Amino acid sequence: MQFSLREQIAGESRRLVKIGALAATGLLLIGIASLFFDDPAHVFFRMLSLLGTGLLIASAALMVITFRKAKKVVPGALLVSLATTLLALLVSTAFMPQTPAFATGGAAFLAGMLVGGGWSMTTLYFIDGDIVRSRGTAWYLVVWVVILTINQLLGAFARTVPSFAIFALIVATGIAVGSITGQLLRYRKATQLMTQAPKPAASGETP
Amino acid sequence: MTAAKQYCPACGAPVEAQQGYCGQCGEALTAAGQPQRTASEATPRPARVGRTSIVIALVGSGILLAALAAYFAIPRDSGSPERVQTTSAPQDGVKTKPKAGPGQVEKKQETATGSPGAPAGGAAGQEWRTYTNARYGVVVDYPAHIFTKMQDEPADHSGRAFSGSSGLWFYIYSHANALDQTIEGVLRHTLVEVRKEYTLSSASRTDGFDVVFRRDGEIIWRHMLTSQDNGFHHWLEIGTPESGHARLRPVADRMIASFRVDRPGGPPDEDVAVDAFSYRTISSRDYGFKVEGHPTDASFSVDVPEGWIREEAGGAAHELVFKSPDNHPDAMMFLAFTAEPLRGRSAEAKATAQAKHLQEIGGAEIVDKGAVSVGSLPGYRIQLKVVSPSDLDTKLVDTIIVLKRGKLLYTLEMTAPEPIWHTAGLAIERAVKTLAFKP
Repeated sequence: MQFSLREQIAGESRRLVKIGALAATGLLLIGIASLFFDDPAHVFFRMLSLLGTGLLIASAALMVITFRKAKKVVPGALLVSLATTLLALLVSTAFMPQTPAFATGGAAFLAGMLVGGGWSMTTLYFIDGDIVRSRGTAWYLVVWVVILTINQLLGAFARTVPSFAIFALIVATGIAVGSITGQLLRYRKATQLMTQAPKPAASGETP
Repeated sequence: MTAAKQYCPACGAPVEAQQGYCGQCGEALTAAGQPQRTASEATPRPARVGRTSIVIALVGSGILLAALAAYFAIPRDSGSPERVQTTSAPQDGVKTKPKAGPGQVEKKQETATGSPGAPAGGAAGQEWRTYTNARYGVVVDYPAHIFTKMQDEPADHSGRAFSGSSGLWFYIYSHANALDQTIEGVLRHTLVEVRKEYTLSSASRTDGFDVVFRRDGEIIWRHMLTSQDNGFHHWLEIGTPESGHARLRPVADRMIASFRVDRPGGPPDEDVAVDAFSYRTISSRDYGFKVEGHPTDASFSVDVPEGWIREEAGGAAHELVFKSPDNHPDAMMFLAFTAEPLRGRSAEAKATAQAKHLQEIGGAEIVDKGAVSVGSLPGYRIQLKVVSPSDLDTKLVDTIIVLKRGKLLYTLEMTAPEPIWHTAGLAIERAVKTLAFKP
């Protein structure tokens, strides 16, 4: 069943709010637990660090296990993701001690867009009845591993450079924007195919 | 009719007959459970080889572009990120015995190159000066050709900020260690303040510490020095944009090396202040000084305090006024030279008229007056205490010396706040001694 774009966005927003609430609750619990130690701030940030590492490992495992699984493409969710990514960049730059020059920032964003655009092409799109689904190919995993590796290496060796932090953030935003834009374009193409071409017998619907 | 159990030919996962794709691997299936090359894929499979190339090209060029942008975005001369390193390197701190508590008057002396911390390879156009904070006795050598602007002095005379082109700046600042903090405690506090991840290096000494850190796109050297058994803390902070910090490093090193306490905090030692006042010789011709109707014989040379600036605004051709760099009313000093036709007046009459004018506008009171002679020139001198027209609590001291030479009357006038007159008065004495008229 297809929902309208507005319903998709609302649904995705509700999901984000739920995730945010869960995360805030988790942070609150960690904070409360930290109060029982001698140095609450140290314990709090230490636990956050451990949690972050755990989440990174879990997300990597989840990616490896599920990247081939076909998932329903929800344009509303992609749009919400696009908006939150850009919002995160805006908020981060507002608090960053420095921002790169326009040319450098633009180049970083463009570089991210190229990588993201390429990444979005590493998925296969399927029309399943009136639903568009996608699944990742091996290349999807390869590109993800490359991005993750570069990001982690830079984080380990160049995180003390504030200008690099904002630079990496702009590249990451570019990747997200490029990837999401690519997916939306491919979704549009797929939906056009759905409306133009007669439904193939092997479209997945029971004859 | 029940659907027959089928399996995905790609991954072997069980699939239902009506499934259009494999739920495990996403492989598209025909109704019979066979893999399909469905038209639903936006790009047909034969094109996938080309698409892989495009993906590699896009991702590769993106990474390359990002690397290029990073190369230009990250300051290369900052080198590999230095890590926090705390070393203990004892340094010969300047330990001075307290003479008295912190004084109230700040004086500043600037001397030209040759002051403590001799120039290292001083190239042409380089000029190093020495700044002394008279209240705390703290001294630093600085390149006047780089830090060209001296900011206003704070009301408590605790230091001074300087700035230059290209975002360069430094300040020195002193205060009493009222909280009785240890050097280690202050260092710890500093490292927390500047944040560990932005700290490039830190080193403690027996008499202070050094921290180098990044902030807002700048590299900052923060040097702390204690005096009087940790009774006073003195700070030297030098900032430069990250892109140019490698060039400034030798300068910063020399400034830090010269940063010292010459005497303890307290009222300025008169002798030190007097001896440290340096002068330069100026020629009135260089400033276009002239008296109408007397184009040739008005020129003179004289010594004026180093660093004093000629007041341009409102100055007539027969007036030459030099002002101390301080803009705070408590420390502003003026040294003026004027010349005008005799018009039948005596030096005494001119000096008296000038004093009367000051009495009318500022409620001045004459404290001393009498005839003087400077070389072969007869003259008259009047000293007044003037209630400043501003809201200053302190009075100003004004000394007027009028000399008669040929058909001209020359007036030398010094104005300064009373608390620092002991230094300012020497400037006019020096001027009188060095005044030389040119043929």
